[in-house]
Amino acid sequence: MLKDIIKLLKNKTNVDEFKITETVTTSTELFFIKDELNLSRGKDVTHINLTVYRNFEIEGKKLKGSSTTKISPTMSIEEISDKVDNASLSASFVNNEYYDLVEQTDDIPKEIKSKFSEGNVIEHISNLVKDLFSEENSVVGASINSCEFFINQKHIRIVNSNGLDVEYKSYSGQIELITEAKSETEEVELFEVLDFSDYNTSWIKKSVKQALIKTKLRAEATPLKKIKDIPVILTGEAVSTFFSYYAAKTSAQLVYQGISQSKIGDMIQTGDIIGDKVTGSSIPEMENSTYSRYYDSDGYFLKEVPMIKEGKLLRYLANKRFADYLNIEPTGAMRNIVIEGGSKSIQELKKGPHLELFNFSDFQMDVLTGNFGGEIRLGMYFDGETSIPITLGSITGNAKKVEQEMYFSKKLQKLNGFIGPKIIKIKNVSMVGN
Amino acid sequence: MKAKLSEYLTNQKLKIKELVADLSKEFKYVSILGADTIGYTYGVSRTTSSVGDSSWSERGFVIRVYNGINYSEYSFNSLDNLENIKSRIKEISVSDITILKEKGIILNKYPLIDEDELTDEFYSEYDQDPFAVPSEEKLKRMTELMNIGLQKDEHFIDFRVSYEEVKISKIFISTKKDLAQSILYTNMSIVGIARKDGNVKYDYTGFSGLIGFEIFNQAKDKIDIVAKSVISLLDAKRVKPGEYEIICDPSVSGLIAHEAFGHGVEMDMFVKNRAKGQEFIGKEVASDKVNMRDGAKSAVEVGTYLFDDEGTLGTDTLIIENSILKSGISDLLSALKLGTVPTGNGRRESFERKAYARMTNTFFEGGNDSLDDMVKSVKKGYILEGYFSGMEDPKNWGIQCVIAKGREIIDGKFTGVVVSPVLLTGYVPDLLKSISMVSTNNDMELSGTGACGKGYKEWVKTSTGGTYIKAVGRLG
Repeated sequence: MLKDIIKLLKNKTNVDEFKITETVTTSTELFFIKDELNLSRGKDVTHINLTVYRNFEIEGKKLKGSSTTKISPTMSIEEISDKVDNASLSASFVNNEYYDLVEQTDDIPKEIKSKFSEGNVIEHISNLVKDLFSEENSVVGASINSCEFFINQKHIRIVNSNGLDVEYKSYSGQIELITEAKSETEEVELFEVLDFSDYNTSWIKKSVKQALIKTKLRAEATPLKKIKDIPVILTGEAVSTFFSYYAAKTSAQLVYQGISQSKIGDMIQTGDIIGDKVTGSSIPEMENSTYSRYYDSDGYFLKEVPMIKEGKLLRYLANKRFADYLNIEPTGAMRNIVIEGGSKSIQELKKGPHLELFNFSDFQMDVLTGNFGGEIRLGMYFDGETSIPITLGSITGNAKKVEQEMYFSKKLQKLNGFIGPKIIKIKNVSMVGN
Repeated sequence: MKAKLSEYLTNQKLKIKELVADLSKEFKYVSILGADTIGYTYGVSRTTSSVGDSSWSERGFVIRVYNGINYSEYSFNSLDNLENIKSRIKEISVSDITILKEKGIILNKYPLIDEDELTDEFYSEYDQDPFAVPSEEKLKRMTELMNIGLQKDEHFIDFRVSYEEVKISKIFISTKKDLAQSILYTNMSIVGIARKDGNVKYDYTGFSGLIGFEIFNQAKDKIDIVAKSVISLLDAKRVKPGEYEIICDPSVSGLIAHEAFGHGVEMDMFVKNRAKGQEFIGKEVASDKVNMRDGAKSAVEVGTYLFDDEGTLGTDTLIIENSILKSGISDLLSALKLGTVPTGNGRRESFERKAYARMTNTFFEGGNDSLDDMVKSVKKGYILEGYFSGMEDPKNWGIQCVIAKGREIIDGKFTGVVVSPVLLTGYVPDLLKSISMVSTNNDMELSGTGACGKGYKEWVKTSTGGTYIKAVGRLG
């Protein structure tokens, strides 16, 4: 079908350039309540996304308009032709600054290995089920409520009118895991999403056990009391979300749009920094990350890019379009972030009274304003002598108010698309207790 | 004018019926949902503009069969090889199930779906066909709106306008059912972004409906509202954490309804024993001022339809009546398991995803109070306006709402102080039982510009809203 579309596009006088992304996906999905299978699903779909470009000038300024449309495999060539004409017409009214499309290079991507590429998917998914339920009795007092398993195998091909023709395979798995435990008064639950790109039995088992341990802790937790002026320790996904504020500081798109004022060489942490400074990079491939790939959505070949060194912005993360706009070298768009560890051990960071937070309803960081916060589902309050599991309550803060004195653990953690400090300690955070 | 069923689905109907008939020889229950949704999104900002297919655009099918114990599904988007489709659904529902059983996996038994004969169709109505309006005009009018916004104040660094037009076409064919519907909706959002002293602040408004291009007529008035809100945020303070009297505007009321007892009564959660609401049916969960509804037939908004993605007709569910939790909302398989009547809330993100119990149009009904009286009654508190996000906790009834801003009220008068952002958290029954005033249905507003997820996935289009409510809330 791709051949027919390309032939059609080449014969169209109203199409100056084009990009086609074809994604062929096969999925297997299982849905469990307790340890019983309730529904099984399979999927075979092909998606073709076509971007049509029009190049034109207005008042001597070179412009490029684009419009993206989805082509279904069931469409006739006449239907596709109509869609192309509509997209072309729309693109001719989109007055964006001109940029070049990505060109083919001689770079050879490494093969991203996954056990999901070999053998039978139903065997793989049943192994995941077996691994997960093998841990069910590992924590007395906590159990698995329900879970959903997904394995996706994708083949992606990106072609453009500039001669680019690249393809790669991608594998991703996801387990949505609900664990429960009973407190003296009621049952509690925790919600975890495990994303992965390879089969790793020990990681699955460890993740399930950790979820069960945390759920049991939540059952023992008491509502957070009114406390103030103690440091907060973020752990797990909240750490990755917190650093998204600094990753956004490297965005060429936000700079072009005038939203970000970050300049190369500037400190991205404001004020007098007496704590740790952020050092980070973007990488194309990370073990067991569903974001690992050597081409971005434009087909640009991806390489490791150091972005921030000791709080100083080294380079913008820019796809081809925004790199052209800012007249800089593109990096391509990457989703795997590495943040270096800090100056202190976990033991040092946990000295003195603090509130350590493990799970939120939904910890959020607004990358434009730096506002962050969330409702606490599980944390540990340490008053200097004893630790008490706590729940409910919430925290709010702003990155600009905490970045002068924040400390990152030397020890790192690995999440989906993120390697960085296992914990971070911040001050000047507002807390709402009961 | 009326939305029309897509030509593609109309042409494939016979083929789909034949496929159902063919598969029915081997399976006791077979249904096929066909979806053909077209839509476009338009965006303008100070530096860039965009046009493209809506993320809701899709064309494909999902087969559901009874595998003898429970149900199996197959999603696909090519009809070229019917033999392959038949072979794949058999593989998923027979061969794979056999392998899973051999691996020791236990299957949870579900009853067979027992349908009544039903043929029906629904086509939504609108004034002006948005697809007939040229892209040029849409982009021109959006650019005009953006420029009006940018000129409102020197601090604006951007004023983004986005517009989406979507026409959903769906058919549902089973042995006994033959359903078709086409629903057209549009939505717009306006985001003002300003900077002062290096700090960026923004706010937005969204509006939607089962309406056509006439939605643009509402847009101009919204620019001023957004501009004033963003400017007020430039000098906003952080709220001093604590408990306050709060008045929630219709958008915040809707968010609370949605997060508190929308997700909390999705009955697939009852099957999993994940919803505390299950044990509170027939009991008091809110103040006697509270009445809450959800349903495809409860309102005419983006959650409106004739039938859901499992072929069940949409209904109007009274969830809370004068403080008492009356009923949950249900998909078909959960209702089968629970022995209840499905409410037509089985919805899929797309033909590629599983159906879950999901909300449609969710709102608090109006009361007898006026906003003026509500403001006058506040000793110290805030009126909460607009929101960025919310998160449910159906098992433990926690609630998290990220509110765009609060305007301070002391002794019944606005002080001019604005706080932002505001995190509203707490225990759902405490919040709902504290509702002491509800404004009349004259203030009723529903909107569905965004999408609702279940956990962190499975996005579906819903509308939420209500009137102004006065309560006591924990802010941070």
